[in-house]
Amino acid sequence: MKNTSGQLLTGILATMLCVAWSSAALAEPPEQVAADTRAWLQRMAEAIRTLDYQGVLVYGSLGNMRTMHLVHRYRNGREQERLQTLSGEPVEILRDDDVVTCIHPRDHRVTVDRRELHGMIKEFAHLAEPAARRSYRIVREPDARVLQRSCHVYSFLPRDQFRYGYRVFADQQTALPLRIDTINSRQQVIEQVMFTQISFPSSISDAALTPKVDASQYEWTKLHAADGVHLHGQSQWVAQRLPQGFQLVGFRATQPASSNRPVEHLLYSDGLATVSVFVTPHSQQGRYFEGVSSLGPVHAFGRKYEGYQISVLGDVPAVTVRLIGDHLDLREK
Amino acid sequence: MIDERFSALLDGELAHAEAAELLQRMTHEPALRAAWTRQHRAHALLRGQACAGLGESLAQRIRKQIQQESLIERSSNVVDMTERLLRADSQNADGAAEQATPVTAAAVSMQLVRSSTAAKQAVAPVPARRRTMAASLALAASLVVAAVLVPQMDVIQAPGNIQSASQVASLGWTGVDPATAQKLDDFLLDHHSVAESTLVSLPTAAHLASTGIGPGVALGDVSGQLIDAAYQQR
Repeated sequence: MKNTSGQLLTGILATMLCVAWSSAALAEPPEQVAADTRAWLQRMAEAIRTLDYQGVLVYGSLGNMRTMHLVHRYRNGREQERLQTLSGEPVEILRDDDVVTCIHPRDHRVTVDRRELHGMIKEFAHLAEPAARRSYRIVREPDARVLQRSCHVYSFLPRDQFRYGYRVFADQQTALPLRIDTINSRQQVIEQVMFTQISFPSSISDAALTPKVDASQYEWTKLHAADGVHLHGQSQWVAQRLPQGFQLVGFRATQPASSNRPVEHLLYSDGLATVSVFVTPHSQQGRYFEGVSSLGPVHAFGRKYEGYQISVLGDVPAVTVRLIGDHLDLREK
Repeated sequence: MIDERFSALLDGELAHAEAAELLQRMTHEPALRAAWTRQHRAHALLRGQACAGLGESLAQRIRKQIQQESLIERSSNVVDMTERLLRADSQNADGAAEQATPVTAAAVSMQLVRSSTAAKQAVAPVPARRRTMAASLALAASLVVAAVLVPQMDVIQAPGNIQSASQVASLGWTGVDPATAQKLDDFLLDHHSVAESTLVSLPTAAHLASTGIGPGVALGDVSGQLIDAAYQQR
Protein backbone atom coordinates (compact mmCIF):
# COMPACT_ATOMS: atom_id res chain seq x y z
CA MET A 1 0.00 0.00 0.00
CA LYS A 2 2.77 2.37 0.94
CA ASN A 3 4.55 1.44 -2.23
CA THR A 4 1.42 2.17 -4.19
CA SER A 5 1.13 5.60 -2.59
CA GLY A 6 4.73 6.30 -3.43
CA GLN A 7 4.24 5.26 -6.99
CA LEU A 8 1.19 7.47 -7.15
CA LEU A 9 3.07 10.45 -5.75
CA THR A 10 5.93 9.86 -8.13
CA GLY A 11 3.50 9.67 -10.94
CA ILE A 12 1.85 12.94 -9.94
CA LEU A 13 5.21 14.68 -9.67
CA ALA A 14 6.30 13.35 -13.00
CA THR A 15 3.07 14.49 -14.52
CA MET A 16 3.45 17.95 -13.06
CA LEU A 17 6.96 18.20 -14.45
CA CYS A 18 5.74 17.13 -17.83
CA VAL A 19 2.94 19.65 -17.66
CA ALA A 20 5.31 22.44 -16.69
CA TRP A 21 7.68 21.53 -19.47
CA SER A 22 5.05 21.25 -22.12
CA SER A 23 3.38 24.49 -21.03
CA ALA A 24 6.65 26.37 -21.17
CA ALA A 25 7.62 24.81 -24.44
CA LEU A 26 4.33 25.46 -26.11
CA ALA A 27 3.26 28.75 -24.58
CA GLU A 28 4.18 30.73 -27.67
CA PRO A 29 4.22 28.39 -30.62
CA PRO A 30 7.08 28.62 -33.05
CA GLU A 31 6.18 28.27 -36.70
CA GLN A 32 6.26 24.48 -36.73
CA VAL A 33 3.96 24.30 -33.74
CA ALA A 34 1.75 26.93 -35.31
CA ALA A 35 1.51 24.80 -38.41
CA ASP A 36 0.55 21.81 -36.30
CA THR A 37 -2.00 23.91 -34.50
CA ARG A 38 -3.42 25.10 -37.78
CA ALA A 39 -3.70 21.52 -38.96
CA TRP A 40 -5.47 20.58 -35.76
CA LEU A 41 -7.90 23.46 -35.99
CA GLN A 42 -8.73 22.49 -39.52
CA ARG A 43 -9.19 18.91 -38.42
CA MET A 44 -11.54 20.06 -35.69
CA ALA A 45 -13.61 22.07 -38.13
CA GLU A 46 -13.73 19.11 -40.48
CA ALA A 47 -14.68 16.72 -37.68
CA ILE A 48 -17.62 18.84 -36.61
CA ARG A 49 -18.95 18.82 -40.14
CA THR A 50 -18.21 15.34 -41.42
CA LEU A 51 -18.42 13.00 -38.44
CA ASP A 52 -21.51 11.10 -37.37
CA TYR A 53 -22.10 11.65 -33.68
CA GLN A 54 -24.79 12.03 -31.09
CA GLY A 55 -24.80 13.01 -27.48
CA VAL A 56 -25.95 15.29 -24.72
CA LEU A 57 -24.67 18.87 -24.61
CA VAL A 58 -24.70 21.13 -21.61
CA TYR A 59 -24.52 24.88 -21.99
CA GLY A 60 -23.76 27.03 -18.97
CA SER A 61 -23.41 30.79 -18.64
CA LEU A 62 -23.61 32.92 -15.52
CA GLY A 63 -26.20 30.86 -13.72
CA ASN A 64 -28.01 29.80 -16.86
CA MET A 65 -27.76 26.10 -17.68
CA ARG A 66 -29.40 24.19 -20.51
CA THR A 67 -29.21 20.60 -21.59
CA MET A 68 -29.67 19.50 -25.17
CA HIS A 69 -29.56 16.35 -27.22
CA LEU A 70 -27.65 16.59 -30.47
CA VAL A 71 -27.57 14.21 -33.43
CA HIS A 72 -25.31 14.90 -36.38
CA ARG A 73 -24.94 13.00 -39.62
CA TYR A 74 -22.88 13.53 -42.73
CA ARG A 75 -23.76 11.44 -45.72
CA ASN A 76 -22.86 11.94 -49.38
CA GLY A 77 -21.86 15.52 -48.78
CA ARG A 78 -25.08 16.33 -46.98
CA GLU A 79 -24.97 17.56 -43.40
CA GLN A 80 -27.97 16.96 -41.18
CA GLU A 81 -28.51 17.76 -37.55
CA ARG A 82 -31.19 17.61 -34.91
CA LEU A 83 -30.96 19.52 -31.66
CA GLN A 84 -33.57 19.05 -28.98
CA THR A 85 -33.68 20.92 -25.69
CA LEU A 86 -33.95 18.64 -22.69
CA SER A 87 -34.49 21.38 -20.12
CA GLY A 88 -36.51 24.57 -20.13
CA GLU A 89 -38.70 25.47 -23.05
CA PRO A 90 -39.05 22.57 -25.49
CA VAL A 91 -37.52 23.41 -28.86
CA GLU A 92 -36.38 21.19 -31.69
CA ILE A 93 -34.09 22.52 -34.36
CA LEU A 94 -33.51 20.52 -37.50
CA ARG A 95 -30.84 21.38 -39.98
CA ASP A 96 -30.50 19.95 -43.43
CA ASP A 97 -27.47 21.62 -44.96
CA ASP A 98 -28.51 25.26 -45.12
CA VAL A 99 -32.17 24.75 -44.29
CA VAL A 100 -33.06 25.22 -40.65
CA THR A 101 -36.42 24.24 -39.24
CA CYS A 102 -37.33 25.36 -35.75
CA ILE A 103 -40.20 23.63 -33.96
CA HIS A 104 -41.80 25.30 -30.94
CA PRO A 105 -44.21 22.71 -29.53
CA ARG A 106 -45.50 24.97 -26.80
CA ASP A 107 -46.52 27.66 -29.29
CA HIS A 108 -47.48 25.17 -32.00
CA ARG A 109 -45.26 27.01 -34.41
CA VAL A 110 -42.66 26.01 -36.94
CA THR A 111 -40.33 28.37 -38.74
CA VAL A 112 -38.18 27.53 -41.71
CA ASP A 113 -35.17 29.47 -42.85
CA ARG A 114 -32.54 28.96 -45.46
CA ARG A 115 -29.10 30.09 -44.48
CA GLU A 116 -25.51 29.16 -44.03
CA LEU A 117 -24.75 27.73 -40.63
CA HIS A 118 -21.37 27.78 -39.14
CA GLY A 119 -20.42 27.60 -35.54
CA MET A 120 -17.57 29.00 -33.62
CA ILE A 121 -15.19 26.18 -34.40
CA LYS A 122 -15.01 27.00 -38.06
CA GLU A 123 -13.86 30.46 -37.14
CA PHE A 124 -11.16 29.11 -34.87
CA ALA A 125 -9.38 27.94 -37.96
CA HIS A 126 -8.77 31.58 -38.86
CA LEU A 127 -6.88 32.03 -35.64
CA ALA A 128 -3.91 30.04 -36.74
CA GLU A 129 -3.29 32.64 -39.41
CA PRO A 130 -0.62 35.23 -38.64
CA ALA A 131 -3.00 38.19 -38.81
CA ALA A 132 -5.31 36.74 -36.21
CA ARG A 133 -2.41 35.79 -33.98
CA ARG A 134 -1.75 39.46 -33.51
CA SER A 135 -4.97 39.54 -31.48
CA TYR A 136 -4.90 36.09 -29.91
CA ARG A 137 -2.12 33.99 -28.45
CA ILE A 138 -2.58 30.30 -29.12
CA VAL A 139 -1.45 28.10 -26.28
CA ARG A 140 -1.30 24.34 -26.43
CA GLU A 141 -2.32 23.32 -22.94
CA PRO A 142 -1.61 19.98 -21.30
CA ASP A 143 -3.85 17.24 -22.57
CA ALA A 144 -6.96 16.61 -20.51
CA ARG A 145 -9.82 14.15 -20.33
CA VAL A 146 -13.44 14.75 -21.14
CA LEU A 147 -15.90 11.88 -20.92
CA GLN A 148 -13.02 9.51 -20.32
CA ARG A 149 -11.57 10.48 -23.68
CA SER A 150 -8.15 12.04 -24.05
CA CYS A 151 -8.29 15.53 -25.45
CA HIS A 152 -5.85 18.02 -26.90
CA VAL A 153 -6.47 21.39 -25.30
CA TYR A 154 -5.93 24.69 -27.08
CA SER A 155 -6.37 28.09 -25.55
CA PHE A 156 -6.92 31.21 -27.59
CA LEU A 157 -5.92 33.95 -25.24
CA PRO A 158 -6.62 37.56 -26.11
CA ARG A 159 -3.60 39.81 -26.22
CA ASP A 160 -5.60 42.70 -24.78
CA GLN A 161 -8.76 43.41 -22.86
CA PHE A 162 -10.92 43.97 -25.93
CA ARG A 163 -11.97 40.37 -26.55
CA TYR A 164 -12.69 37.13 -24.77
CA GLY A 165 -10.54 34.05 -24.87
CA TYR A 166 -11.54 30.47 -25.60
CA ARG A 167 -10.33 27.06 -24.51
CA VAL A 168 -11.13 24.08 -26.70
CA PHE A 169 -10.91 20.44 -25.65
CA ALA A 170 -10.69 18.32 -28.79
CA ASP A 171 -10.98 14.55 -28.77
CA GLN A 172 -7.60 13.12 -29.74
CA GLN A 173 -9.13 10.25 -31.63
CA THR A 174 -11.72 12.07 -33.71
CA ALA A 175 -10.70 15.76 -33.33
CA LEU A 176 -14.27 16.61 -32.36
CA PRO A 177 -14.34 19.39 -29.75
CA LEU A 178 -15.99 17.98 -26.66
CA ARG A 179 -15.84 21.12 -24.57
CA ILE A 180 -15.42 24.84 -25.25
CA ASP A 181 -14.90 27.42 -22.52
CA THR A 182 -15.22 31.15 -22.99
CA ILE A 183 -12.86 32.91 -20.63
CA ASN A 184 -12.50 36.48 -19.54
CA SER A 185 -9.34 38.50 -19.03
CA ARG A 186 -8.91 37.01 -15.56
CA GLN A 187 -8.95 33.52 -17.04
CA GLN A 188 -12.33 32.83 -15.50
CA VAL A 189 -14.78 30.69 -17.41
CA ILE A 190 -17.84 32.77 -18.21
CA GLU A 191 -19.52 30.45 -20.66
CA GLN A 192 -19.18 26.76 -21.34
CA VAL A 193 -20.50 24.22 -23.83
CA MET A 194 -19.65 20.61 -23.13
CA PHE A 195 -20.72 17.15 -24.15
CA THR A 196 -21.72 15.10 -21.13
CA GLN A 197 -22.39 12.09 -23.29
CA ILE A 198 -21.09 11.28 -26.75
CA SER A 199 -21.11 8.36 -29.13
CA PHE A 200 -19.90 7.86 -32.68
CA PRO A 201 -22.25 5.30 -34.22
CA SER A 202 -21.27 3.69 -37.49
CA SER A 203 -24.47 5.01 -39.00
CA ILE A 204 -27.29 7.28 -37.92
CA SER A 205 -30.77 6.44 -39.05
CA ASP A 206 -33.26 8.80 -40.60
CA ALA A 207 -35.45 8.24 -37.55
CA ALA A 208 -32.82 9.79 -35.30
CA LEU A 209 -33.06 12.97 -37.35
CA THR A 210 -36.84 13.05 -37.26
CA PRO A 211 -38.50 15.41 -34.79
CA LYS A 212 -40.02 13.84 -31.73
CA VAL A 213 -43.12 15.97 -31.91
CA ASP A 214 -45.80 15.82 -34.54
CA ALA A 215 -45.71 19.28 -36.05
CA SER A 216 -48.12 18.51 -38.83
CA GLN A 217 -50.86 20.67 -37.34
CA TYR A 218 -48.63 23.55 -36.36
CA GLU A 219 -48.41 26.91 -38.08
CA TRP A 220 -45.59 26.99 -40.58
CA THR A 221 -43.80 30.12 -41.63
CA LYS A 222 -40.96 30.82 -43.98
CA LEU A 223 -38.72 33.63 -42.84
CA HIS A 224 -37.66 36.36 -45.14
CA ALA A 225 -35.17 39.16 -45.24
CA ALA A 226 -35.67 42.30 -43.25
CA ASP A 227 -37.96 45.04 -44.45
CA GLY A 228 -37.03 48.23 -46.15
CA VAL A 229 -35.23 49.22 -49.29
CA HIS A 230 -31.65 48.02 -49.35
CA LEU A 231 -29.16 50.73 -50.11
CA HIS A 232 -25.81 50.15 -51.69
CA GLY A 233 -22.57 51.99 -51.50
CA GLN A 234 -20.52 53.16 -48.60
CA SER A 235 -21.63 53.61 -45.02
CA GLN A 236 -22.01 57.20 -43.96
CA TRP A 237 -20.60 56.20 -40.58
CA VAL A 238 -17.06 55.36 -39.67
CA ALA A 239 -15.36 54.18 -36.48
CA GLN A 240 -12.49 56.60 -35.99
CA ARG A 241 -10.86 54.20 -33.57
CA LEU A 242 -11.06 50.42 -33.23
CA PRO A 243 -9.44 47.88 -30.93
CA GLN A 244 -6.35 46.21 -32.38
CA GLY A 245 -7.26 43.62 -34.99
CA PHE A 246 -10.85 44.71 -35.56
CA GLN A 247 -11.89 45.83 -38.98
CA LEU A 248 -15.08 46.46 -40.87
CA VAL A 249 -16.22 43.24 -42.46
CA GLY A 250 -19.60 44.31 -43.70
CA PHE A 251 -22.29 46.90 -43.68
CA ARG A 252 -25.89 47.16 -44.65
CA ALA A 253 -28.11 50.17 -45.05
CA THR A 254 -31.86 50.11 -45.25
CA GLN A 255 -34.22 52.92 -46.05
CA PRO A 256 -37.29 52.45 -43.88
CA ALA A 257 -40.57 53.71 -45.23
CA SER A 258 -41.10 55.72 -42.07
CA SER A 259 -38.00 57.87 -42.28
CA ASN A 260 -35.89 59.72 -44.78
CA ARG A 261 -32.77 58.67 -42.91
CA PRO A 262 -31.34 55.20 -43.46
CA VAL A 263 -30.82 52.58 -40.81
CA GLU A 264 -27.30 51.22 -40.88
CA HIS A 265 -25.76 48.03 -39.56
CA LEU A 266 -21.98 47.82 -39.52
CA LEU A 267 -20.15 44.65 -38.55
CA TYR A 268 -16.64 44.63 -37.16
CA SER A 269 -14.55 41.56 -36.44
CA ASP A 270 -11.09 40.46 -35.44
CA GLY A 271 -11.65 37.10 -37.12
CA LEU A 272 -13.38 35.53 -34.14
CA ALA A 273 -15.08 38.15 -32.02
CA THR A 274 -17.74 40.23 -33.75
CA VAL A 275 -19.28 43.57 -32.90
CA SER A 276 -22.33 45.08 -34.53
CA VAL A 277 -23.07 48.78 -34.74
CA PHE A 278 -26.65 49.82 -35.41
CA VAL A 279 -27.36 53.44 -36.26
CA THR A 280 -31.04 54.28 -36.30
CA PRO A 281 -32.88 57.57 -36.62
CA HIS A 282 -34.25 58.25 -33.20
CA SER A 283 -37.99 58.28 -32.85
CA GLN A 284 -39.72 61.16 -31.15
CA GLN A 285 -41.51 58.90 -28.69
CA GLY A 286 -38.74 56.68 -27.50
CA ARG A 287 -35.97 57.28 -25.04
CA TYR A 288 -32.32 57.15 -25.98
CA PHE A 289 -30.32 54.16 -24.85
CA GLU A 290 -27.17 55.54 -23.28
CA GLY A 291 -24.39 53.77 -21.45
CA VAL A 292 -23.53 50.10 -21.09
CA SER A 293 -25.81 47.11 -20.61
CA SER A 294 -24.99 43.42 -20.54
CA LEU A 295 -26.59 40.08 -21.16
CA GLY A 296 -24.26 37.45 -19.82
CA PRO A 297 -21.02 37.82 -21.74
CA VAL A 298 -22.71 40.01 -24.37
CA HIS A 299 -22.28 43.75 -23.90
CA ALA A 300 -24.09 46.68 -25.46
CA PHE A 301 -23.35 50.38 -25.49
CA GLY A 302 -25.60 53.19 -26.60
CA ARG A 303 -25.27 56.89 -27.18
CA LYS A 304 -27.12 59.64 -28.99
CA TYR A 305 -25.62 61.56 -31.85
CA GLU A 306 -27.39 64.32 -33.76
CA GLY A 307 -30.79 62.70 -33.76
CA TYR A 308 -29.44 59.19 -34.21
CA GLN A 309 -29.36 56.33 -31.76
CA ILE A 310 -26.04 54.52 -31.92
CA SER A 311 -26.13 51.02 -30.46
CA VAL A 312 -23.09 48.77 -30.33
CA LEU A 313 -23.18 45.15 -29.17
CA GLY A 314 -21.32 41.90 -29.39
CA ASP A 315 -19.84 38.96 -27.49
CA VAL A 316 -17.04 41.14 -26.22
CA PRO A 317 -16.17 42.95 -23.00
CA ALA A 318 -17.83 46.26 -22.18
CA VAL A 319 -14.70 48.26 -22.93
CA THR A 320 -14.84 47.13 -26.57
CA VAL A 321 -18.39 48.24 -27.32
CA ARG A 322 -17.76 51.49 -25.50
CA LEU A 323 -14.60 52.23 -27.45
CA ILE A 324 -16.23 51.59 -30.79
CA GLY A 325 -19.40 53.45 -29.87
CA ASP A 326 -17.57 56.47 -28.54
CA HIS A 327 -15.56 56.80 -31.73
CA LEU A 328 -18.30 56.32 -34.29
CA ASP A 329 -18.68 59.41 -36.39
CA LEU A 330 -20.34 60.60 -39.55
CA ARG A 331 -18.01 60.18 -42.46
CA GLU A 332 -16.83 63.46 -43.91
CA LYS A 333 -18.42 64.12 -47.27
CA MET B 1 -66.62 41.14 -22.36
CA ILE B 2 -65.07 40.66 -25.78
CA ASP B 3 -64.03 44.32 -25.79
CA GLU B 4 -62.17 43.73 -22.57
CA ARG B 5 -60.34 40.81 -24.09
CA PHE B 6 -59.48 42.86 -27.16
CA SER B 7 -58.20 45.60 -24.95
CA ALA B 8 -56.09 43.13 -23.00
CA LEU B 9 -54.79 41.73 -26.26
CA LEU B 10 -53.83 45.17 -27.49
CA ASP B 11 -52.07 45.89 -24.24
CA GLY B 12 -50.25 42.61 -24.30
CA GLU B 13 -51.90 41.53 -21.11
CA LEU B 14 -53.81 38.58 -22.42
CA ALA B 15 -52.41 35.15 -21.59
CA HIS B 16 -50.75 33.49 -24.53
CA ALA B 17 -53.25 30.68 -24.79
CA GLU B 18 -56.15 33.12 -24.63
CA ALA B 19 -54.57 35.34 -27.27
CA ALA B 20 -54.06 32.40 -29.58
CA GLU B 21 -57.62 31.27 -29.07
CA LEU B 22 -58.98 34.75 -29.76
CA LEU B 23 -56.92 35.16 -32.89
CA GLN B 24 -58.01 31.76 -34.10
CA ARG B 25 -61.63 32.70 -33.62
CA MET B 26 -61.13 35.88 -35.59
CA THR B 27 -60.13 33.91 -38.62
CA HIS B 28 -63.50 32.23 -38.67
CA GLU B 29 -65.90 34.85 -37.28
CA PRO B 30 -66.46 37.93 -39.45
CA ALA B 31 -68.33 39.76 -36.70
CA LEU B 32 -65.48 39.26 -34.33
CA ARG B 33 -63.02 40.48 -36.93
CA ALA B 34 -65.11 43.60 -37.49
CA ALA B 35 -65.23 44.28 -33.77
CA TRP B 36 -61.53 43.76 -33.55
CA THR B 37 -60.87 46.17 -36.42
CA ARG B 38 -62.96 48.85 -34.71
CA GLN B 39 -61.21 48.38 -31.40
CA HIS B 40 -57.80 48.22 -32.97
CA ARG B 41 -58.40 51.46 -34.87
CA ALA B 42 -59.69 53.22 -31.79
CA HIS B 43 -56.73 52.03 -29.82
CA ALA B 44 -54.34 53.23 -32.48
CA LEU B 45 -55.97 56.65 -32.61
CA LEU B 46 -55.80 56.96 -28.86
CA ARG B 47 -52.13 56.17 -29.02
CA GLY B 48 -51.60 58.57 -31.88
CA GLN B 49 -50.01 55.92 -34.00
CA ALA B 50 -49.87 56.17 -37.73
CA CYS B 51 -51.18 52.81 -38.76
CA ALA B 52 -50.64 52.12 -42.39
CA GLY B 53 -53.09 49.73 -43.88
CA LEU B 54 -55.98 50.52 -41.62
CA GLY B 55 -58.01 51.46 -44.65
CA GLU B 56 -57.80 47.92 -45.89
CA SER B 57 -60.16 45.28 -44.77
CA LEU B 58 -58.78 42.55 -42.65
CA ALA B 59 -59.47 40.02 -45.37
CA GLN B 60 -57.51 42.09 -47.86
CA ARG B 61 -54.62 42.37 -45.52
CA ILE B 62 -54.65 38.68 -44.75
CA ARG B 63 -54.70 37.87 -48.43
CA LYS B 64 -51.84 40.23 -49.05
CA GLN B 65 -49.99 38.74 -46.12
CA ILE B 66 -50.25 35.30 -47.55
CA GLN B 67 -49.29 36.39 -51.02
CA GLN B 68 -46.36 38.47 -49.95
CA GLU B 69 -44.61 36.73 -47.19
CA SER B 70 -46.06 33.69 -45.62
CA LEU B 71 -47.17 30.29 -46.63
CA ILE B 72 -48.96 28.48 -43.90
CA GLU B 73 -50.01 24.99 -44.60
CA ARG B 74 -50.53 21.70 -42.93
CA SER B 75 -48.62 18.61 -43.68
CA SER B 76 -48.08 15.22 -42.21
CA ASN B 77 -44.37 15.27 -42.82
CA VAL B 78 -41.90 17.84 -41.53
CA VAL B 79 -39.34 17.31 -44.25
CA ASP B 80 -41.97 17.36 -46.92
CA MET B 81 -43.49 20.49 -45.43
CA THR B 82 -40.15 22.22 -45.27
CA GLU B 83 -39.44 21.45 -48.89
CA ARG B 84 -42.85 22.64 -49.97
CA LEU B 85 -42.42 25.82 -48.03
CA LEU B 86 -39.09 26.56 -49.60
CA ARG B 87 -40.28 25.56 -53.05
CA ALA B 88 -43.26 27.85 -52.74
CA ASP B 89 -40.93 30.62 -51.75
CA SER B 90 -38.79 30.23 -54.80
CA GLN B 91 -41.90 30.07 -56.97
CA ASN B 92 -43.06 33.31 -55.43
CA ALA B 93 -39.76 34.85 -56.32
CA ASP B 94 -40.29 33.78 -59.90
CA GLY B 95 -43.68 35.34 -59.95
CA ALA B 96 -45.51 32.07 -60.17
CA ALA B 97 -49.15 31.91 -59.29
CA GLU B 98 -49.80 31.07 -55.68
CA GLN B 99 -52.26 28.74 -54.16
CA ALA B 100 -54.80 29.95 -51.70
CA THR B 101 -53.90 28.72 -48.26
CA PRO B 102 -55.78 28.38 -45.03
CA VAL B 103 -55.75 31.46 -42.90
CA THR B 104 -54.56 30.91 -39.39
CA ALA B 105 -54.18 32.96 -36.30
CA ALA B 106 -50.59 33.63 -37.11
CA ALA B 107 -51.44 35.29 -40.37
CA VAL B 108 -53.86 37.61 -38.64
CA SER B 109 -51.44 38.41 -35.91
CA MET B 110 -48.52 39.02 -38.20
CA GLN B 111 -50.42 41.23 -40.57
CA LEU B 112 -51.88 43.35 -37.84
CA VAL B 113 -48.51 43.76 -36.32
CA ARG B 114 -47.21 44.75 -39.70
CA SER B 115 -49.95 47.32 -40.07
CA SER B 116 -48.47 49.44 -37.37
CA THR B 117 -44.80 48.99 -37.94
CA ALA B 118 -44.19 52.55 -39.01
CA ALA B 119 -43.28 53.72 -35.55
CA LYS B 120 -41.36 50.55 -34.87
CA GLN B 121 -39.21 50.85 -37.95
CA ALA B 122 -38.15 54.27 -36.89
CA VAL B 123 -36.36 52.83 -33.91
CA ALA B 124 -35.22 49.42 -35.03
CA PRO B 125 -34.51 47.82 -38.38
CA VAL B 126 -35.86 44.45 -37.38
CA PRO B 127 -39.47 43.76 -38.28
CA ALA B 128 -41.60 42.66 -35.39
CA ARG B 129 -42.64 39.45 -37.05
CA ARG B 130 -39.13 38.11 -36.88
CA ARG B 131 -39.11 38.36 -33.15
CA THR B 132 -42.64 37.11 -33.04
CA MET B 133 -42.37 34.13 -35.24
CA ALA B 134 -38.87 32.89 -35.19
CA ALA B 135 -36.43 34.47 -32.89
CA SER B 136 -34.57 31.23 -32.83
CA LEU B 137 -33.78 31.13 -36.49
CA ALA B 138 -32.08 34.43 -36.40
CA LEU B 139 -29.86 32.91 -33.80
CA ALA B 140 -29.59 29.52 -35.34
CA ALA B 141 -26.21 30.16 -36.81
CA SER B 142 -25.14 28.40 -33.73
CA LEU B 143 -27.73 25.80 -32.91
CA VAL B 144 -26.62 25.73 -29.36
CA VAL B 145 -27.03 29.46 -28.94
CA ALA B 146 -30.43 29.20 -30.51
CA ALA B 147 -31.56 26.46 -28.23
CA VAL B 148 -30.30 28.26 -25.19
CA LEU B 149 -31.55 31.76 -25.85
CA VAL B 150 -34.82 31.17 -27.59
CA PRO B 151 -36.61 29.48 -24.70
CA GLN B 152 -36.01 32.59 -22.67
CA MET B 153 -37.77 34.65 -25.27
CA ASP B 154 -41.25 33.46 -24.58
CA VAL B 155 -42.58 35.38 -27.49
CA ILE B 156 -46.13 36.56 -27.29
CA GLN B 157 -46.85 39.31 -29.76
CA ALA B 158 -50.23 40.92 -29.49
CA PRO B 159 -51.23 42.90 -32.53
CA GLY B 160 -51.33 46.64 -32.60
CA ASN B 161 -49.15 47.37 -29.64
CA ILE B 162 -45.70 46.45 -30.69
CA GLN B 163 -44.02 49.01 -28.50
CA SER B 164 -45.21 47.35 -25.34
CA ALA B 165 -42.35 45.53 -23.75
CA SER B 166 -44.71 43.48 -21.66
CA GLN B 167 -45.54 41.38 -24.70
CA VAL B 168 -42.10 40.01 -25.19
CA ALA B 169 -40.01 38.71 -22.39
CA SER B 170 -36.61 40.27 -22.69
CA LEU B 171 -33.49 38.19 -22.44
CA GLY B 172 -32.55 40.10 -19.35
CA TRP B 173 -30.41 43.10 -20.25
CA THR B 174 -29.06 44.89 -17.24
CA GLY B 175 -29.84 48.47 -16.34
CA VAL B 176 -32.16 49.36 -19.18
CA ASP B 177 -35.89 49.95 -19.43
CA PRO B 178 -38.05 47.23 -21.01
CA ALA B 179 -38.45 49.04 -24.32
CA THR B 180 -34.70 49.39 -24.70
CA ALA B 181 -34.21 45.78 -23.70
CA GLN B 182 -36.58 44.78 -26.43
CA LYS B 183 -34.62 46.78 -28.99
CA LEU B 184 -31.41 45.20 -27.81
CA ASP B 185 -32.99 41.78 -28.17
CA ASP B 186 -33.74 42.63 -31.78
CA PHE B 187 -30.24 43.89 -32.37
CA LEU B 188 -28.75 40.78 -30.80
CA LEU B 189 -30.77 38.54 -33.07
CA ASP B 190 -29.63 40.49 -36.08
CA HIS B 191 -26.07 40.55 -34.86
CA HIS B 192 -25.81 36.80 -34.37
CA SER B 193 -27.52 36.06 -37.59
CA VAL B 194 -25.49 38.37 -39.77
CA ALA B 195 -22.19 37.91 -37.98
CA GLU B 196 -22.25 34.17 -38.48
CA SER B 197 -23.38 34.40 -42.07
CA THR B 198 -20.81 37.00 -42.93
CA LEU B 199 -17.85 35.50 -41.20
CA VAL B 200 -18.12 32.20 -42.96
CA SER B 201 -17.41 34.06 -46.13
CA LEU B 202 -14.69 36.16 -44.61
CA PRO B 203 -11.51 35.53 -46.53
CA THR B 204 -8.77 34.22 -44.32
CA ALA B 205 -5.34 35.73 -44.52
CA ALA B 206 -4.21 32.65 -46.40
CA HIS B 207 -7.02 33.02 -48.86
CA LEU B 208 -6.19 36.65 -49.41
CA ALA B 209 -2.56 35.77 -49.91
CA SER B 210 -3.51 33.17 -52.48
CA THR B 211 -5.48 35.74 -54.38
CA GLY B 212 -2.56 38.10 -54.36
CA ILE B 213 -4.18 40.59 -52.01
CA GLY B 214 -2.20 39.47 -49.03
CA PRO B 215 -2.96 39.59 -45.35
CA GLY B 216 -3.48 42.88 -43.63
CA VAL B 217 -5.69 44.30 -46.32
CA ALA B 218 -8.81 46.07 -45.12
CA LEU B 219 -11.27 43.24 -45.32
CA GLY B 220 -14.10 45.71 -45.48
CA ASP B 221 -12.94 46.60 -48.97
CA VAL B 222 -13.18 42.99 -50.02
CA SER B 223 -16.26 41.81 -48.22
CA GLY B 224 -18.12 44.97 -47.45
CA GLN B 225 -21.19 43.74 -49.22
CA LEU B 226 -21.19 40.32 -47.63
CA ILE B 227 -23.37 41.49 -44.81
CA ASP B 228 -25.92 42.56 -47.36
CA ALA B 229 -25.73 39.16 -48.97
CA ALA B 230 -26.24 37.59 -45.59
CA TYR B 231 -29.40 39.59 -45.08
CA GLN B 232 -30.64 38.74 -48.52
CA GLN B 233 -30.02 35.08 -47.86
CA ARG B 234 -32.37 35.04 -44.91
